[in-house]
Amino acid sequence: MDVTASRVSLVSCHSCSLLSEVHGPLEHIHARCPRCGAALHLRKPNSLARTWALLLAAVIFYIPANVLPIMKVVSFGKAQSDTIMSGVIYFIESGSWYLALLIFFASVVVPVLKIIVLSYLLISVQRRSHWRPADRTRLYRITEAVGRWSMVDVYVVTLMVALVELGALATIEAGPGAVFFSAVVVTTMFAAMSFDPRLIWDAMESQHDRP
Amino acid sequence: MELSSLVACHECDLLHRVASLPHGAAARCTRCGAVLYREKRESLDRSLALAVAGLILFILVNAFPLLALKLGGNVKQASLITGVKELYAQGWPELAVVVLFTSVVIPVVYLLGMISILFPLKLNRVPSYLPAVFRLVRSLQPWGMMEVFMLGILVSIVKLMKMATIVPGVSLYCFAVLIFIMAGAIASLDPRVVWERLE
Amino acid sequence: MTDHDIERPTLEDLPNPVVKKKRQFSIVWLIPLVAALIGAWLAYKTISEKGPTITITFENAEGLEAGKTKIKYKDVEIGEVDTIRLSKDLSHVILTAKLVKDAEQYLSENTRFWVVRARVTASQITGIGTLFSGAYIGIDPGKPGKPARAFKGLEIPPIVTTETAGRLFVLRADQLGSLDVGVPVYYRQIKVGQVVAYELAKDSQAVNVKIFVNAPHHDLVRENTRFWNAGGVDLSLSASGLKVNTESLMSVLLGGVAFETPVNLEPGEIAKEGHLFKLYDNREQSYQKIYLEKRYFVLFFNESVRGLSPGAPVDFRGIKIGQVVDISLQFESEKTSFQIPVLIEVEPERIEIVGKRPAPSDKLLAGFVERGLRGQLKTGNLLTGQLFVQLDFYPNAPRQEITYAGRYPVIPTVPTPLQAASETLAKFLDRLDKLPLEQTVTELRQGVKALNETITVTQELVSRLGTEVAPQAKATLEQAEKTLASIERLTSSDAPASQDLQQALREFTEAARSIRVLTDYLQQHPDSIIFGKGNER
Repeated sequence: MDVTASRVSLVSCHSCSLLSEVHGPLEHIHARCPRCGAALHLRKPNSLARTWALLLAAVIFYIPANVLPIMKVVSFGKAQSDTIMSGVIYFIESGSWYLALLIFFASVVVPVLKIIVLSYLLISVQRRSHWRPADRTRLYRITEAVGRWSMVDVYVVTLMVALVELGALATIEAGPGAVFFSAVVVTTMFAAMSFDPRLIWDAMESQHDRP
Repeated sequence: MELSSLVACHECDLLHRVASLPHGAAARCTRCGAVLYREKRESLDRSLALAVAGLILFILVNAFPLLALKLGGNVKQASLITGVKELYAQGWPELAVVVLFTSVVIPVVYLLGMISILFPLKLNRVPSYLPAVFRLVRSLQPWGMMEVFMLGILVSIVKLMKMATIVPGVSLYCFAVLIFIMAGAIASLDPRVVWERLE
Repeated sequence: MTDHDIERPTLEDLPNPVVKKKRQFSIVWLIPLVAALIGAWLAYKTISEKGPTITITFENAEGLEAGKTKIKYKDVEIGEVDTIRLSKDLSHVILTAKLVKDAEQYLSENTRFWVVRARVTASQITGIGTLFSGAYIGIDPGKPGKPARAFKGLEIPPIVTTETAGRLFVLRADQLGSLDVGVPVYYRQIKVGQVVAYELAKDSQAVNVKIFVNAPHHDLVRENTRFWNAGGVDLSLSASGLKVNTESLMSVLLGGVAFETPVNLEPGEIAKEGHLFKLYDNREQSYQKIYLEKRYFVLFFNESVRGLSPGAPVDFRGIKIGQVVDISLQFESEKTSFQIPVLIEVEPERIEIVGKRPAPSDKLLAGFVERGLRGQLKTGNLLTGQLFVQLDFYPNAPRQEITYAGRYPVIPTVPTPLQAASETLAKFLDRLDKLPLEQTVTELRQGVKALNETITVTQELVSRLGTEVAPQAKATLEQAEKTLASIERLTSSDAPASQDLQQALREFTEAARSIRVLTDYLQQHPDSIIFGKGNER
């Protein structure tokens, strides 16, 4: 049987990794790590609820993020709006397919995958799935690490807006899609941060515990 | 058993014994493979040195323009902050704030925080604010996205290269170096060393 | 808790992302050191390359943008506008601009700035490129001078800049006419320069037109070169027919200025920069000698000036030295008399100076007046009765001193010849009038009375003569008779003397008779002189 910290009434500080003894249910105690002063939690507080809420928000933001234009190019009075997808298509058409792939992956695939993976993880925890916990943890790790790279598109827009200011010749303006997209990235990052992967293992153990 | 000789996996909560590692080695969880801790050599020195270098580079990056765009006799220069200003001016304050934070504010806070902790530690003094600041710095760290910004720069260059002349500025090279320095500063920091000083 | 439950961590070697080799800690510190060095070097480079910051004022900022508008010299970017703001009194805009370091050396007080925008004028179209690239600020470094950092921008770009080789001259014209900035300057109908600016002269009596003649033609302009307005069409109708003179089609439309150094005069010195010339209305006029210096005098005439008009010449001993400018009628309230002041304009340059040039002064004029300089009206044209003013020295004129009417010196006048005669007559009559006639008549009457008395006395004398003097007289007469008789006897026919005398008388009488016959015969036969007496007898 695996000895986890919680089993032996030890709490690991999420900040400094110090193990502290805990007596009694943690939910009613506002414990602080003796070394670093961080709040001690057995598991991330309200992990499932928070993660679901944030994921939902991310999904809600995701639709305008892709529908609304993230960038508008105004040249000689003519305006042309670009969404994330049309930016990808532009790269394909102009021949830089590797960039198209990159943008597609970072701005389309990653957020979607993040949402899907986190949803799956949440469901798997709630259903107390036993499916490959190590792999799920690894999945979680990858999801958390990769999430920030979706911000690439937002930074591209920022730079375009900053550089292309040539008066009537060409001007670029940011669009509402960019705001929603950054909201998607931020909320998915928070969602991943609020998910406690230990719950995966907890789900496994309780089954074992059951006589 | 002393609590300090044990460590719990952050991702699966399994208890392990703390063992000394050879240099550069990482201790992984037996169950889920997560990294428990790493052995980092000269952590304090390196982290501090890199943080200082990073701070200097950061100042340079913001003092000079990153890129310049030339088209039809028009020249426009842009620095890190130019984009933020433009977004704000165009009526997207939320976006401007997000970009500002992730690309400028948080990295700076991280560097300054690290220096403010490591420097006294190097002088063998434990500052009173160490726990709070170190916690703050560590929690902010995932939000610093300078390397993503770098990728954004590269993509923008490719996108604009076709229609205009892009001239890299001095701070572009500084920025590239800064990314590596930041990554190095983060990687070379062994939090155990810092926390142990508290005891 | 059981010991054996606690697992040992598995060890894995992972590459350290930062440093590959094991080294002393000091190596790591190279990185911030290098970073600091790079930073210091960049900072030094930036500061040392920092060019001067200047301010330029313009009336408005049309087409100019802070942080964007460039300053260009010969199309090379040498600076950029940094900020644009309004002046405190909202009358103009103030730009601050950063220039490259090299610009420092030619920034002087003579440096000029202007905005290059698309500009369309009659003579040129410039700056179209700015419609796309945006306006920029042009700079003309100007001659080296005191370093300056604040400048007043020109609203209109200068036509010529310092680097253009050539020379600037100033033409003085009565009116601007068809001249404008950019109007060409011709020499032998080739454009060699252009008008660059014009302004009202300081005394507001003329217009000063600044022209720029390009090198190498600027040496053609000498001190005695004549400039004339060559714009439009110069028509002249004369005995030889209609003559049309133009410089070029452009000058017909836009106007132009032409110049020539008259051939009959020796070319003078090459004119210096900024030399002032008179601009004549046309080519012919330029050949007339026109003089610039004018001095004004007033002459008072008491006689009729009918026939004198402004423009009438002022002569000195038959040589024109000026003209009449104004004539008016004045009532002198103190003397309750009328006077006619005539304002004349004398051009002293017409008089050639031999010897040392005297300073024209009032003393000189006073001296002339004292020596007898007077003005006089003379008939110029008997037919029209036109008068002109003649100045001359009249040594016999009554001595007068110079006076002033207002600011003009007064030259005393002498009356005209006709008037002189009538004056003499008047004088005579006057004198006559003054004679004591009454007295004379009385004396005359007395004289006649005396004469009557004399006649009476004479008559008495004559009667006395008959009575007293007569017998004596008779005696004398008898004596005389006797004498006469003796003379008669002497000369009678018997006396020998008288016989000779008779003989002579007889021959004489015969001669006279034959002459008489001859003349009678000749009268009847005139041809007998030639042919002789013929058979007539």
